[in-house]
Amino acid sequence: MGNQNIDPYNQYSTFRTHIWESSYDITGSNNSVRVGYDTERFGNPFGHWETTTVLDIGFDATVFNGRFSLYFDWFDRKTTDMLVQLPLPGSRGDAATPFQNAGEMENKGVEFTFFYNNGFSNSEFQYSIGFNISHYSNKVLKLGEDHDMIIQGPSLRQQRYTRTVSGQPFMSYWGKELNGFTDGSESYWNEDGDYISDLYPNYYNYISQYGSGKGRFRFIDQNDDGVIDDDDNTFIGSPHPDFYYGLNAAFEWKGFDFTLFFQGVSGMELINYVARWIDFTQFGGNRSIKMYEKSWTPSLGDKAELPVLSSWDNLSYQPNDYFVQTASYLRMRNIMFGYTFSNIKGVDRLRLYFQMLNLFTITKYEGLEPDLASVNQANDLSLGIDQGVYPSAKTFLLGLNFGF
Amino acid sequence: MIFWLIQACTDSYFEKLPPGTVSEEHLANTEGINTLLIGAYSVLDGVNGITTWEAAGSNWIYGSVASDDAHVGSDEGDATEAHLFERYDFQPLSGYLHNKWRVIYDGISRCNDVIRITNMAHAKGTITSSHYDQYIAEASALRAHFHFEGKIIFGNIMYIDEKVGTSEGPSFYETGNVDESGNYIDIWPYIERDLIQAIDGLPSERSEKGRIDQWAAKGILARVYMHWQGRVQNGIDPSEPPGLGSAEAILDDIIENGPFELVESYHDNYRIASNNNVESIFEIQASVNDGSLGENGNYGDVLNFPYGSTGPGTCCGFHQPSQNLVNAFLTDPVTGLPYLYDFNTRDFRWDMGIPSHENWDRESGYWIDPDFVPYGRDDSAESIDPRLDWVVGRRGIPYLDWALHPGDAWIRKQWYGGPYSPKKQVYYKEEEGIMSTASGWAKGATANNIRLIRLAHILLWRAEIAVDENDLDLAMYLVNQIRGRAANQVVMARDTAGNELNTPACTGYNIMPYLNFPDKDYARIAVRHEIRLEFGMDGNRFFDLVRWGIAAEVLNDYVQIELTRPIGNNSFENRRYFLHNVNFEKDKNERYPIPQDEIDLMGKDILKQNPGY
Repeated sequence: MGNQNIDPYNQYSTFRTHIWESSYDITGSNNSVRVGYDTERFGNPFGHWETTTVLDIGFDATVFNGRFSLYFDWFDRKTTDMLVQLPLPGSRGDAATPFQNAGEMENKGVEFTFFYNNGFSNSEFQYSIGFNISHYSNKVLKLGEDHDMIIQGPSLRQQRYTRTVSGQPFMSYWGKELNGFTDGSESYWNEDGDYISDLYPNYYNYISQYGSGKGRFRFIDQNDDGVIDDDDNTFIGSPHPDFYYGLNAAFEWKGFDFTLFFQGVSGMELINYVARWIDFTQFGGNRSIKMYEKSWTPSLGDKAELPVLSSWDNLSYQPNDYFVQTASYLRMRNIMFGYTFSNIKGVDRLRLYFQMLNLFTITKYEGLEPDLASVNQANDLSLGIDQGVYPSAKTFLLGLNFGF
Repeated sequence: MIFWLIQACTDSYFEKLPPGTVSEEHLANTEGINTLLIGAYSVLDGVNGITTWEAAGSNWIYGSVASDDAHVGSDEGDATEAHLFERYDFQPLSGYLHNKWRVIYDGISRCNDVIRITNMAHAKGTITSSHYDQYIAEASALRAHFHFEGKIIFGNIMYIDEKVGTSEGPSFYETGNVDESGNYIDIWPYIERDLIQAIDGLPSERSEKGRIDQWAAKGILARVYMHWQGRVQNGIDPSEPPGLGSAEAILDDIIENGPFELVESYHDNYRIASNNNVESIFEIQASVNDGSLGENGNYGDVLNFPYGSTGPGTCCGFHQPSQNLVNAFLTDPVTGLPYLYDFNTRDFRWDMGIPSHENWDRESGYWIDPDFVPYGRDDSAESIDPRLDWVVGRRGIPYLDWALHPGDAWIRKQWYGGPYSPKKQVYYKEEEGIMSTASGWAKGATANNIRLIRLAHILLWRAEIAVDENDLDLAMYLVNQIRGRAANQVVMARDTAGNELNTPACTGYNIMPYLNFPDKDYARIAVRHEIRLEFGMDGNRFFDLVRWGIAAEVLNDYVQIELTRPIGNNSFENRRYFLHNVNFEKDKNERYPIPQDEIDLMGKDILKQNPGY
């Protein structure tokens, strides 16, 4: 993770020129700048290869005349001197940070595959079925040279949803934990005639008289100091799923062929960042139907999923486990029917086929696309954050193959 | 055999600099160092690609919104973090403050690059020694400016020179703001040293308008002395004060020997047509339509334009002048002097709660408004300092050549931010698309420079010292120079076609010189009030209050009175709820907190948080 694409010139500080980040109207012309340079990247002359130690215990078997195959692997992959981009103090200036050998990470897991076919004998009906499932667990063991460092996830409109620290999975989700909705017991009228809550001194309009202090997200006071603030943030999930699995099958009969491929992920959670735009009031623009139907009202009560509608709310949209949404899915990746004509004059082979890609996806995920990795060149730092991606296209193909 | 050959080669044989990129060696010559210097100038505006308005060179958030000059304005749901500053709710986790911190040190790091590479070039003999002196001096002056900004915003900061992070100095992780015994390090002497070195090496005339010359460095040094002196005196910074008389000497030098004079019109300090004028000492250059999307054009203030499609900029209604600031411009109809002691108990008539007139002619924008008569327009008893209408956009007064300010139609949320608009950095309608950006999302990027230090600063700082020295005649003479100039050009009325008429927009414009400073206290208040009026909305006010030691007193009074103002008819919204339970904590809020992310990175024994946070 993060270590396959190290820039070959990582050891050098380089400079760049930029039309506005490093240029200036030194002549006072009002409409032109002179080109300047500033540091583009700090170099790390001390970098070296990282070390990966893999312990892999595997078992491969093919039996019954090659009809049944089984593959099993257990692995423990430990990377030391891992190359990571550690944050530098702001006093260093702003430029890309170099990779440094300052991390340790462990990936443990199992992979299991089986494959069965009917032997490819001369019978008219041939088939094969395969199934695979894998699991890994990820943990950062060390980050930083002298003391523990934090690698922050990307800042999205002044909020960060992920961070990497030692002892936790890479890019774990970070925010406040919810515990239902406020019921009015946290708020009261003070002597100035203000409707307030002592729990939210930094969010002065979070509790207001509208809604009588009911129906707001109730946050867990993790450090029990009687105040909800950034010190109550905690780890609320990780982008690493429990299982990946796949099922494929192929059939052939008298010139007809049929293939199937299902693929899925289970135990996966994503940060649905798009929900911040459509389920909450922070930004302008369109809203979700869910906001209309599932925002707290006295009649919905605890069946609500979103806080009471209010333009006074500057807390609910901050990172919390509402945004951590189940994104497990099972997807029909590929389904294909074909027929091969074998006795047409002048043509050795003619095959007609009909193929459907991504025909359906079974998921409870509310975003557009649960499989971020396939549609997005997600870099490691934004792992697990759905910032709104163009979903996988459902594709129908009708095709002809000729062989002369 | 092959193996043996490789062993025999030295490492450097394989060293190959990255192709297509630029390294320190490439830049160690006259041309290269000049481009690095440009890179350092480029962040004077606070906008470096990572940062935008939260780090603006004008400091409109930290210097103006956090003071009694202005409200953050706009809508509380937009740029939410900005709104905390109005409540003196300064958070160590604020991303705004962190970005300000980062851009300041980015500037410092760019200056250090210049100095380091200049030294390298000097050693290699690729530059002449006169160039050497010039580059070191220019970079030192800029480095001092950036440290100064960090100093007045964050208080206890560290000084980073060109040796930090190299083999000759400590690492960045080790270079914090405290010494071994945990006491904050006083960096004022280092800032001073940089500036004295700069003054030695800089020419007395600038070769290009945007460059720092000897006089600009002297101006920065004068500013440094004024803040250093005041902050030490009032216990903000643990330090020895600067040498006695050092501020006075440098101010007198600029006044007597410098090439500066007050420009004829006060407004010329705030309009594009008179960028780099004869009053200006140190100015941040802005440019538009230069190939960027406006980011070189005073981008830090890009949100601070009237809200609504008919005015300039169109975005986003931030930085709205307060009623308190407007009241400060009231003058006594008889004497033409401000109400120094009780200006804020005399309420200037405002248009709060009055919708814009429905028949407002949006084409010309110059209409007769039957719903509201602007204070001072028709009644000479409603006496006001004419600078008000260059500083504050208010209903019924020509907003440059745009229109009569229509009131509510240009305000995003009147009951929240008040009825006024900022005006100083706005461009003229005739300049639209030429001196404002014609591309990019924000029309409010303009070629309006930020006059960071001008002769008026020097004169009024000198007046402050004159008061301290009980030379009240000199103080009054200097203040009167500023007031005399302010009378020269007032906003003129316009006809319904928008043409400027020969009559002032208000009959109430009335500004007169002081005839007498009866005692030292009166003189001090008069000088400070003049500084407020002359530089209203400029982003200095908070820092001035701090160096005068009166921030807590003035700002808590300000908040209490703002709270009492009825601001609309809506029963819940009829007062500024966001100013409830707001308190400026003395001995804490004078300094903004050190960004927590930085403390987490460096360790709290090395980078120590400011007291109270």
